Amino acid sequence: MSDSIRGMKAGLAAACLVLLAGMATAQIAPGVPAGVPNGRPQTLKPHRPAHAAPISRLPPAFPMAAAHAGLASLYGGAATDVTTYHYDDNRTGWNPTETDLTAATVASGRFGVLATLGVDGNVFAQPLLVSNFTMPDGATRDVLIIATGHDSVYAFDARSYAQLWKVSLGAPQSSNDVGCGDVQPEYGISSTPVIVRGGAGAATIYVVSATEPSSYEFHTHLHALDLGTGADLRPPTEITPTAQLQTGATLRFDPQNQWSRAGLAYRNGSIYVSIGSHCDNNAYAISGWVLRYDGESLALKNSFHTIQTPRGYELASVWMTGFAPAIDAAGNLFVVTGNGDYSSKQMDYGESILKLGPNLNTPPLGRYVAPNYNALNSGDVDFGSGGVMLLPSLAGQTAPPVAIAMGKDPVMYMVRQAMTAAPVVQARRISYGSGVWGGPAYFDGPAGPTVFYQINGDVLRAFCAPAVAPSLKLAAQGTTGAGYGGSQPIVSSNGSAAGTGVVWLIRRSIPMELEAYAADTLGAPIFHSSIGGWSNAGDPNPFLTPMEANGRVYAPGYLSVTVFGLTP
Amino acid sequence: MGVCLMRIALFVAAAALAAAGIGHAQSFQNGDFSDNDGAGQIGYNTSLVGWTVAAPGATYLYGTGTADAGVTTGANGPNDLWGEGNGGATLIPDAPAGSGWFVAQGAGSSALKQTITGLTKGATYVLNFNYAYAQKYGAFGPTQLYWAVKLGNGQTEYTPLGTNPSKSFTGWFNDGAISFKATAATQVLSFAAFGTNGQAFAALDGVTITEGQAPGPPPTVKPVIPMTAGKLVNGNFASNGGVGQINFNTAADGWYLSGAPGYTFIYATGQADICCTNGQYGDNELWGKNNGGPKALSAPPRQAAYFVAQDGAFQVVPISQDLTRLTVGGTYKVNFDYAFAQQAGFLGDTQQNWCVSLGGAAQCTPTVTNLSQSSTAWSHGSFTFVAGAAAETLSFLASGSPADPPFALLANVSFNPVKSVAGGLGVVAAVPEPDAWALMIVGLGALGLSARRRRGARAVTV
Repeated sequence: MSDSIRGMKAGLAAACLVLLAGMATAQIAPGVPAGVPNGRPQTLKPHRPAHAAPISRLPPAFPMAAAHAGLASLYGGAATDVTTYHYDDNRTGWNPTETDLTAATVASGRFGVLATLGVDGNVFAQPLLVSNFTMPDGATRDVLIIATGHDSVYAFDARSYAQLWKVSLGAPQSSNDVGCGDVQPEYGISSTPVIVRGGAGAATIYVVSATEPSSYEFHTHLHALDLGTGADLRPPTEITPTAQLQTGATLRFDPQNQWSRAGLAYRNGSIYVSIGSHCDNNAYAISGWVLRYDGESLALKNSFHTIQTPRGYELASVWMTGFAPAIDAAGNLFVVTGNGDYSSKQMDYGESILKLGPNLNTPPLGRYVAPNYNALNSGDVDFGSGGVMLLPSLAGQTAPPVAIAMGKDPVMYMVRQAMTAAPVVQARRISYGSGVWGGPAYFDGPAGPTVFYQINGDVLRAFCAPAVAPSLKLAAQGTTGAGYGGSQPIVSSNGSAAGTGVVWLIRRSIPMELEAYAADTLGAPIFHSSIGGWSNAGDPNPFLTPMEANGRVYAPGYLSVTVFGLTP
Repeated sequence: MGVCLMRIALFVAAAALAAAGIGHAQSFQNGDFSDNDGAGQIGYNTSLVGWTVAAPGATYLYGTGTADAGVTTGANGPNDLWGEGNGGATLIPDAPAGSGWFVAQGAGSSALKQTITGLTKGATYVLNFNYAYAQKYGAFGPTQLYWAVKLGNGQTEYTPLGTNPSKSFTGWFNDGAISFKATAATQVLSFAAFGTNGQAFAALDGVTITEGQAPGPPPTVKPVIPMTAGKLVNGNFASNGGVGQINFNTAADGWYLSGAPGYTFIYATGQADICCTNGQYGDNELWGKNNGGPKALSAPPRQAAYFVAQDGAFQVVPISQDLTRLTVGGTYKVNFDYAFAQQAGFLGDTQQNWCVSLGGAAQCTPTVTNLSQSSTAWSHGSFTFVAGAAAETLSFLASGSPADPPFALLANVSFNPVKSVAGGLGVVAAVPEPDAWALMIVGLGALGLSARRRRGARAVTV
């Protein structure tokens, strides 16, 4: 008898009980299935057959009739900036400043598509926003920044959605030439930029482009763009780190087989760029990198490479499906590596959470390898398919600060940020299927600190995370199954006020959908709408992160960013 | 057993450096188990630099903080220990050596060994280590365990006999140092866990060896695990974690499934055709009068309050119990009650039977036809086996076809000696050589195939 038949017999009503029971016992089904190279879609066996049926309602094909009125309406709260991936250096994905969008208003029927912004490629980067920015012409605008896989950067007026400027950073790399079809037809800007705002009218966009000016000539550059004009503030720096390995061999960044997928990060004048690989290609000769550039000169100051002793399978990429490194108050970076060698005695750091000092000029200050790292490597079950989030420390917290990470193996690891030799506070398996390509979101809501995760094919789950003694416990769950690899949720709310929290995510379905859930209760989505198809039509991996700010939600997609908001 | 009792003064600490000059640099390494290939079954899917086991033993490497998180797998799937993360009674404390790793070995498994070179013949060495007692996830009931430690051909030393409550992990202990005298420059250090059953796990961490002399006499008293020879426990399945699916949301004390997740349930008598005996796919009822079946599902004999039901065609793995201290060559009789049924909601006649095995020998009940939406009357089975080793696994494996779920029911299992070879009943056989377990486990792995092949022409002894 097949799982699916048995599941049909069990009925949808049993699914919740099953999931809850599974959480309690943490033993559901056998082994972790073999995965695939970074993000490459695979045919997955249904490991949990009793999902709710996919949402069938088609979204509005056109913006709401009152979209113009919605566009014209002013945001009622204080405008906010979103200058880095997932809102802050903890990578919480939480915007606590939202006043207009609540669970009630989003579910009211007044919430819908306000505009569709046309762009020229895939939008892997999370859209960013700088509010009340004084443009060179003296006008004050909320500037929405969108970077594309076609190596373009756009600035839109987030109130009128007029295009303010567009710059091209070069010709993108052909996916065929790269030799990896994870993203088609090209690779350009794949990582979320970081914006450093210097004043009312001064801001710099740091962004990494992958270019192929002529066939099979590959380059990767770090740019510093003027937010007001899009112009390069200084000549871009080509990313070409090298390092000498213990064998004496020289490790080199490979611009064909490596890319900047993890979001950029900024702290104290330094720009941090993380490097992963395409399809695990050239695995015997490349490793992951975290690079520190001077924000003023764009000069490479220091670099950290994740493999020191080449043994034929290096990698240990830092990609995290777009998550940026988390940064603690002291400026230490936290990243998660993917498939690759691990050695406790040598400086090989595959399948690990790493804590790196701000200067990147020392070995990791701490590391934690997933204990089943060998099995993860054998099955291409990257730990580093997921990002790491630092759980914000709260007033009165007595427990040491912790970080949370999960990868393709659906085990939530909560570790002490101190990263002592045995830092695990809690390790909790969610299922024995596939885990997450993405990461968690956080909401300090009326029920207290809550962590949201959605893994492959699973419903969205909320875990309460009491600060006094951190331990994740299932608190609520949604009803709609995720697509391939789960999702990358974010949360908007008006502080911790009840009823204001909304979880937003992009469902990796065909077509892709923006989904919204009441953060306090989850349950059925309170809103969903198509945001179009992905460029890999039959092989979708739209690992996308929406952005919410100032009463509007921006859903990146293919050739467009869909804007959602309220109409009067 | 309390910590204080566990910390008996057999191994009083404080190693002193040898006064007689500087010995050779001995080669002992990786005593904190940090140099490894990741969590897993040593000799199967992971390894420890410097250490070996006779594969396929039941010695596992765990990451601190993850032994209850389903990340440690072996030949039979996940091999968690009970801990807070999987519903156990206690938190698994961090391994004290701080490397982030520890080893745990199922009682009776192959010894964990390391060959140490560079010893000074005649010199005395002090061995120190931390240990704890645990239980495999899914097993129930209190257990008693100890570590047997040996260097070369010298005398075996023992940790104190400890009692681990059901579903628990004791604290970590360090009873100080054990002194060994090296009788050769190269010797093998071995750790072998012994205990109530194979689901009792002894944990180990932070092994160190230094040349010197531990004060006090070495402990030489071999612990005795109080148990009756060849005793089967919980044959009526009454000691359980409630109705449900074994390995998913319940367990039967003493019994385990040789693989995960299996599709074997515990039912309360009279409740199998009434909601809710839940498993991984929700309520799993059998046809009976209460859910629209044409006939009542009869109760098992002898007023059994519970019975086991195993799907003979889906996620089929045997339900087993490890029996120790059997008399090799002794004859034992397995008695049990059985019947056949069908999962409610499905139609079609099915053909079913049970196969019972002890060690490498299997015997099966006759194949009977269970009519659609129905169940058979209970029958009594009785098989006789000869113990081929002092420790054997008794297993029940259901077979059924077609896969309209055929459920084989089992109740009132007993296991008793019929006669024995020299030594007679009640004589405790020598503790099995740990390596014998390797052969047993291989045999068990082959059993499923063997049992299935015999379905067409089986030896019927009922």
